[in-house]
Amino acid sequence: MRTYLRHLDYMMLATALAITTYGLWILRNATRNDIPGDPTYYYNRQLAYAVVGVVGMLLISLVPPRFLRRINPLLYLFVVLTTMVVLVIGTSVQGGQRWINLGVFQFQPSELGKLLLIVGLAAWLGNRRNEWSPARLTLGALAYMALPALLVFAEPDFGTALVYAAVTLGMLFVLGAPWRHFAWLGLAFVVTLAMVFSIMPGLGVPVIKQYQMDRLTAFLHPSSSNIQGDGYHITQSMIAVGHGGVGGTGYAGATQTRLNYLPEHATDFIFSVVGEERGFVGAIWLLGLYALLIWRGLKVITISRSTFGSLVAAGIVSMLVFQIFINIGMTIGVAPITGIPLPFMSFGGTHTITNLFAIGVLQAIHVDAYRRAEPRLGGRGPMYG
Amino acid sequence: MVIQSPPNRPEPPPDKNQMMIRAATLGVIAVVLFGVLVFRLWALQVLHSDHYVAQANQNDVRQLPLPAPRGEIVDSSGKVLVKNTSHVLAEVNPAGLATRVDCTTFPADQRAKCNAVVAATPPGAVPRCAALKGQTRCLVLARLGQVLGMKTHEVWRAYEKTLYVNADGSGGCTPKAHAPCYVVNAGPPIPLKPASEPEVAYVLERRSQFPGVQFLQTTQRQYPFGDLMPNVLGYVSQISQAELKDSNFAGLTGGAMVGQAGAEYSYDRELRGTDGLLEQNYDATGRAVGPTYVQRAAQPGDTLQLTINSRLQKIAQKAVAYGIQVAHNDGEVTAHTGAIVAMNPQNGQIYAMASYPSYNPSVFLPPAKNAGKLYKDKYNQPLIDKTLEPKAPGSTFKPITATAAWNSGVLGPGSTLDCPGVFYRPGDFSHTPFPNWTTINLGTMDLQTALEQSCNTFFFQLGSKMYDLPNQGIAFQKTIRQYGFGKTPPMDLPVSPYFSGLVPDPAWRLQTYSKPIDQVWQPGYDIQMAIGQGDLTVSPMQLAVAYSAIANGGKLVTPHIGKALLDSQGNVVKRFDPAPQRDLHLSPTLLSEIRQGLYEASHSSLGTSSSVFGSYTPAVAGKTGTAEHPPDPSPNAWFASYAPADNPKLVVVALINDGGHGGVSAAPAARQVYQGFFHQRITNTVGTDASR
Repeated sequence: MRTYLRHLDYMMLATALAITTYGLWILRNATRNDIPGDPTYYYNRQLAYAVVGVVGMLLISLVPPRFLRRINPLLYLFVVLTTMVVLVIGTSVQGGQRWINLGVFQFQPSELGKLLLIVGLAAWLGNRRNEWSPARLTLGALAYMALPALLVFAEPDFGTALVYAAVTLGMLFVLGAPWRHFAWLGLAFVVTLAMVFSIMPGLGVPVIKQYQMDRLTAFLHPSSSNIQGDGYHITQSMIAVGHGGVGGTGYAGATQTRLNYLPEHATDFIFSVVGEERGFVGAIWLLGLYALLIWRGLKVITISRSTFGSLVAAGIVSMLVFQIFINIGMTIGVAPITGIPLPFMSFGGTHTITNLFAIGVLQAIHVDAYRRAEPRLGGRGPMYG
Repeated sequence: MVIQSPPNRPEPPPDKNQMMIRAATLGVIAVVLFGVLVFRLWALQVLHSDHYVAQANQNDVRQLPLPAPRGEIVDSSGKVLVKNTSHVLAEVNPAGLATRVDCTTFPADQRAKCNAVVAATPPGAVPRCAALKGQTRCLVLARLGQVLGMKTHEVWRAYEKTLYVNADGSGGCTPKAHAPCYVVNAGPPIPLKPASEPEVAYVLERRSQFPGVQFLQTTQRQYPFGDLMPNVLGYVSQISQAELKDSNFAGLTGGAMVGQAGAEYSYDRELRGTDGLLEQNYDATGRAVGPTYVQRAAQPGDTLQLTINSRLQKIAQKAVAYGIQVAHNDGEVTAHTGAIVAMNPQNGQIYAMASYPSYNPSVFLPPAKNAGKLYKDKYNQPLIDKTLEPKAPGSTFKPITATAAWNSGVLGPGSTLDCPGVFYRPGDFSHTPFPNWTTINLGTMDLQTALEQSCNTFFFQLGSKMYDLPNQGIAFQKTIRQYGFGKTPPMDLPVSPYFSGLVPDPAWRLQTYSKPIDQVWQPGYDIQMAIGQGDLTVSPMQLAVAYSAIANGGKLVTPHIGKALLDSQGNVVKRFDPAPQRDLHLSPTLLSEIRQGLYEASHSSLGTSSSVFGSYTPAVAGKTGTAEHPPDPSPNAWFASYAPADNPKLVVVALINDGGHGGVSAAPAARQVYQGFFHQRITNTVGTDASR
């Protein structure tokens, strides 16, 4: 236990807690007028999720990584089964069937699936690393990811499916897949885009739904869209962010948020609230915290004694980077609207808990790196971090 | 196959160098992506923030005008002639009413009918209340009507009449002409009726029963003196499309209340003040959020003080009625309209300006139900200001003829002419007679005697001689125009261009008539004009200005009704003292002859108004006029005068239309005004009057 306490990454812990707290504060202001007569409706719930998440994070950080590695088939099975269950008996919100109603809690398997997929895939890849050829590993990883990704895509939840893909690519990258694999994947991506957006609809086979198509392309021409459409979301979000200016408007002046011009300001567009209320300074502060967290995650990749640990860290870092970039990029018009939440900030139970659990997993790997006696990876050790 | 995992075995250590490089690369990718975000945020929040701030403000803040209280109008003694009363107006805001009909709220037996009516209604519109009574809106309006004391169909119509659309959604539908019409619940709140305090309280206590009903604190003009001088005051109403282009209303937008006539029009800019600005936040669904706040306070309009004295005005108004009564007693039964102008001959301040019959300007206040009657009264034409309406002036015009004759050399110091019973123009082979008012030859006389006895043939000779001057006596018209005739008086009241008065001349004749024989300028026209007949027309106001010039020694004053602008504390902001239009350079000899003639006309035993003014003090110098205007059998009665004769302080021109002889009806009416001015105290509280 002493080792454990000594070797926790306290900077990572503090950063994760800081972002979560910041998110709670922003959420509290942003949703004050959303439920008439209950100004803290969202805040109270998010606070409960955060408490559960932090407690879970600390518990998970006690679990040795090799135990997670051992149960990886179970984790994968859990992801696939729960995602299937959602498709059969899930609860729909705004066209997406993504939740399982657990009474007090709406459980979203695809969110927890992100972390479970990372752990499962890391174990799967680590076990085969020196036995399979690189090409077989790459194809195998893609196939491993494809099943849950397709299930999630069918909900439909295109954003989460993209996260699965991004995570897989990140892990393959750190594993050392040859560069040409990524070139081929890039080519395949372009061909797929052409198929999905142009060729297949041209042949009369719609692959993605019209609203998904509109959302994905709206950021390219925001002003041309109608007032209720996704162009409206982007326009209002950019107005909110620009309205904040350098120093932000504060709560009272944040008219875009307060008067409900900014849609989905508790979930997908929470960053626009940061931009409006806290301005450039607040946004940069938040990005700085994320950068710190990612740096600590990258460090875990390098100090891990096992391929499994490094790959898990790589997956989590990829997940964070991808989600942060796509979500913030969406609110300021540089990325398509895909419904990807902002880690530690967006309102959502499974989402918040999953991210905190992921930090717990990173902590476990971090602690484990010191617990083992073997020589450490790389020249830089924890003494410097 | 994929999900089957091989058994766990000791794991090989990671390839540390490659993994280090890959992790570092992942870090670089993260840095690049974050860099993109930072640069984009920099562009949005630092470089182009202004643009988005403006859009955000446009999004949620709507500005509403905060109406400025309109300035009051007071008379020369400070008595309030026009003031504002505030009242509460019940309004219905279409935004608070449903844009669709919910047939499920109807009783079961009417639901089928409701569905049928709604199915026939174009999208976005709702049926008229007359077509489907059970609509929530109609029930609310009917309920409101009961509270306000309006009939149900009245309140429905009052609400719906501006919202009608045709079946294709186009506006301008009227139920009778283009049935069927539909109603679109949109647009600004619709004012229904002023509400009393208990009515407001009743509705506000039952808010949920009156969705869309709101109350607006507003002001309205009030006229404490009723029908005393609507021609001077004018009235206020909403600006019309045509008026938006009027330079007097530059910078105003639709919905503004502006002066429509009289002082309300000519001093609109000063009375209007500057509207303030209210701001109100709205949320994305269009609901008002939070309280309104004043962005810019309203700047109240200035108080306008008139030169009009309400007491003298009242006396003048009664004097016209008196003159008409006198005319009736004298057998001139068709006399029914008239005018009196009383002004200061030294500076052009108008003390009274009575037009008879009058009306109460409050008829123009919304809903202005009875204003139409005024337009329809063709007999009295109360909306026409009789002080500004030109008519043939008759003998009151003779001093102007004399001036023209003097200026053109036809008449000189000591000139005498014969006064026969009838004048024939020398060399006129048609032998047209121009008769005097008596067939007796009154003998040879000078100008002052001719004025005293109002000898027509004396002036016929002047007119005839002026015709013989080179260029057909254009000198005559030139002098007349110098006196201000033939042109609307340059005063601070809106005067219709039709009321310029006519000074006929050869050019006018050529332009107006088509037959060559009519286009020729005949000697008879100058001869007629010499005694104020023929096509010549002048308004009482123009005549008062001309007589002021005679009274003050030749200055053509600028008549005006505005005396000063006062701020809300009563301090003088600006005084109006317009400069005279011009100096007529009247010869002192001529002036003294005219003045003597006018004095004798009201004093000597043969004078035309000596029966009225012979023993009156102060001495009144004045000329009667009895102007024929065929085909009307009764002549118009005029009296133009000033007093005291040796130091004039007041000019009075009276006109009783169809009043017969000027000395019979017009002169007694003028006497009442002199009586009121010189023998009853008239106070002026603000500013001192040099003339009094």
